[in-house]
Amino acid sequence: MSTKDMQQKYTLARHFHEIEAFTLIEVPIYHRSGGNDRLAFVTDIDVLALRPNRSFGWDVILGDCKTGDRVSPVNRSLWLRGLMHSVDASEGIVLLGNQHRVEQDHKLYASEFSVHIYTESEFGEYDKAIVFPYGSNRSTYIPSTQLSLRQLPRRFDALGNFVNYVFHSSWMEVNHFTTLRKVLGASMGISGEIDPRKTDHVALVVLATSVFAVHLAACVGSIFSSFLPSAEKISIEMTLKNLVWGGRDNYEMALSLRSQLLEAKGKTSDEPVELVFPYWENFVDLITVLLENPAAAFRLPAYFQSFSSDLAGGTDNSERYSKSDLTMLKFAFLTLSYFIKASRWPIQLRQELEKRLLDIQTQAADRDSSIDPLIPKS
Amino acid sequence: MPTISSYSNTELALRCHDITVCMETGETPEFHQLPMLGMAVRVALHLRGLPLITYDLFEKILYSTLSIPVFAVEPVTRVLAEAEFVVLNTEGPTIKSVLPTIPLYEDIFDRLGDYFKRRQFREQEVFTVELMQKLSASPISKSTVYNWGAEQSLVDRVIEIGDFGSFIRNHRTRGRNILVSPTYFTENATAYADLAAQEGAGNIKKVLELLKSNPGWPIEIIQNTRNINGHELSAVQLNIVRALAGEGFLQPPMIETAHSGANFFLFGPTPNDMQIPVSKRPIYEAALALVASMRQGQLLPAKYAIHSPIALLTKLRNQTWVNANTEAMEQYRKLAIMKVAFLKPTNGNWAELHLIDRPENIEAVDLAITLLSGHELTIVPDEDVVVAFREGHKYLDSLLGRKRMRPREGSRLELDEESQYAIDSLLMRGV
Repeated sequence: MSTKDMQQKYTLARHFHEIEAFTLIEVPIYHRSGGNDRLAFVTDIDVLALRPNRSFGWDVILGDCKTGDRVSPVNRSLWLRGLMHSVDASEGIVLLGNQHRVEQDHKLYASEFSVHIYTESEFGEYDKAIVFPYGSNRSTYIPSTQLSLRQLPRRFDALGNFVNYVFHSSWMEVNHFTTLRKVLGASMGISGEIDPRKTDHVALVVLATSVFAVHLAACVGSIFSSFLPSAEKISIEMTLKNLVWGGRDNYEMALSLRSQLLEAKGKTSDEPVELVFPYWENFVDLITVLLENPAAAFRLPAYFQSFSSDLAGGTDNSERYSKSDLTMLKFAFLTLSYFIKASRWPIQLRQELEKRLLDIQTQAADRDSSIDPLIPKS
Repeated sequence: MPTISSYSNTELALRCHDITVCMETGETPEFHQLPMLGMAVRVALHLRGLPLITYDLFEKILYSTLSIPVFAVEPVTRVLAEAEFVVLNTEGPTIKSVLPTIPLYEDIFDRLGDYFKRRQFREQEVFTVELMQKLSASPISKSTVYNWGAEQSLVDRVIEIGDFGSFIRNHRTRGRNILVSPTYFTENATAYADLAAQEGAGNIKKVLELLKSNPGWPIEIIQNTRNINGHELSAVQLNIVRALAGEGFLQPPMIETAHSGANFFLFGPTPNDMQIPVSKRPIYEAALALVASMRQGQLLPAKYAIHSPIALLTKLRNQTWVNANTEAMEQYRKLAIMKVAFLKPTNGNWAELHLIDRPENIEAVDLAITLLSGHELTIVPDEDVVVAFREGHKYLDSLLGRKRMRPREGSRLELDEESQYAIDSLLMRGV
């Protein structure tokens, strides 16, 4: 990972976090399918943001940060446009050092293909207008924690594949339903590696839940748009079962493969089997509960990132949540609880995080309005 | 004597709920598990979809709006937690808050009924459930109840509790004691009791079941064909049909047309307040009128019959209007008077039916579709209580204030028809 231009990346990450977008810093890009055994690195995205849209989907926004002088802003915008195309992003931001003087025409030219060029001070004004009125400078979210958590495999190499897939390769997937399954699969793969007594393990679990929540919200949005208001549990369940395997044919193939593998191990059964997530009933229940308020489901990834940042930094910023956040906080409780249970991570981890989330909700229930951390302290 | 496992989970939970609602805060030493299950169902019905609730608010709402005695709030809450309907945030033995986690599609009655079946119900409780189960289908002669194999003292005690708890009424009619549950026969209880004394509970049960699955069947057709939608009726059952359309019962909806004269459309007993709250009664009446107009077109057409009333109502709901026909003016006249729909004349005496776009009219069409589908009307939560859970103390205080402004229901002695008659006849005799 590059440490260049880090302050600019944090600035963008804080800005996106305050508008409740899911944000990742330094995301490597590989070819989706790959022709070799090893994934070949192409480039990396400085800041990847997924912003909830009004159609209950994610708008992908890319941030490109450059403090150096040896860069042509307008050329950079063309480069970013190409990257946006490859990851299906709708918007891009090129953030430059204040020494740059960008031609107004170049800015207009770039904005025609949805790339916005700002110097740091211009972005400060933009940030204040969007995160009105104080901007995201005082955000309690610490973007650097996600980088240090993603470097945990340096100390715990068994976490390597999990971190690589969940935070890096998974963004190359094209389908949220199948990615949801794969993220859960990757989490199940490290069930014996998570130690609930280690703060950074706990924070990593919550950060991984934010990725799970990105795909979960997208699935909820998709089901909401195609099923409601006539949805019945049985039809949602059937559809989910097929979609998480990439369609009916893939599901049948996976089912047959499973039987063959079991047979090869000498296990046969006449019982009809289904290939579903662990605690499948709970998963379907979770989806149906989130369908009651999909907008709140789309707030979860940013919430989990904030929660993870608090856990890693030993801080508590829960006072920013009030009565109006209770539905989102309830969804966070149910999502985290399911994800840990289905990943077969230690029960102690689940109980402690559930307790913490219950306390946060209890305090929020007594608060009519939140204490906004962005307001300058007198 | 049946055992608790004789009932389906839903039946058990539903009966316990109905009994508990009638008893309000009333207690009897014989009942132990029954009110606990009833209260758990009542609370759970109001919790679906809610965010976390602080325990002091939860306790206050349960006591002040759902009639859960203060000492029962904690046991009920812990039962709901064991049934995984809520998650409790505790500190030592103290409950700090309650997080409802009831899945959207979970059958509350089934899950809680199943949970309670593992518990030991007392003989009196089982017998009460059995009696309410039977009374939900028809009024029953008291003498029949004595033949069910239970000791007479037990039967008498359960009836006494039922009377005290307002879930069973004893009607003296035609020289017999007939038991009626006001929960299932909300209106015209005396008339139903009289009919049971005259024609027998089994016959009433059959007729009411047929009317539930075929609501709004025209009386004339029943009389002429001696059946309801192909289900043959005995002479006694036909008498019941005639009686249901006659004096003492709610006047069935009527449609008058030039080609078929005046026709009455028959429905079963009026749903109770838990199924159709008082504020929604006009919607229920509109739904009956919609069903009657569909049956008129389906079974008594001048020329072209409605093939599927449900399909036509679905079209009216989604498209907001249905095609013109020559009978519309007479067939849908009542709907126009009730301001559910209006008639738009096209050619000659043809008219289209247009739904008036108001939420209550859409609700009436939905309800009519539910009735025609033969589905059981579900018990709906009290909206004020749900809002109080969401909005907290301020809303609750205002809600309780509004309730205090209304005449207190519990403080007024409600006389049933029979008691009223007894007092009147006493006075008439010149005491």
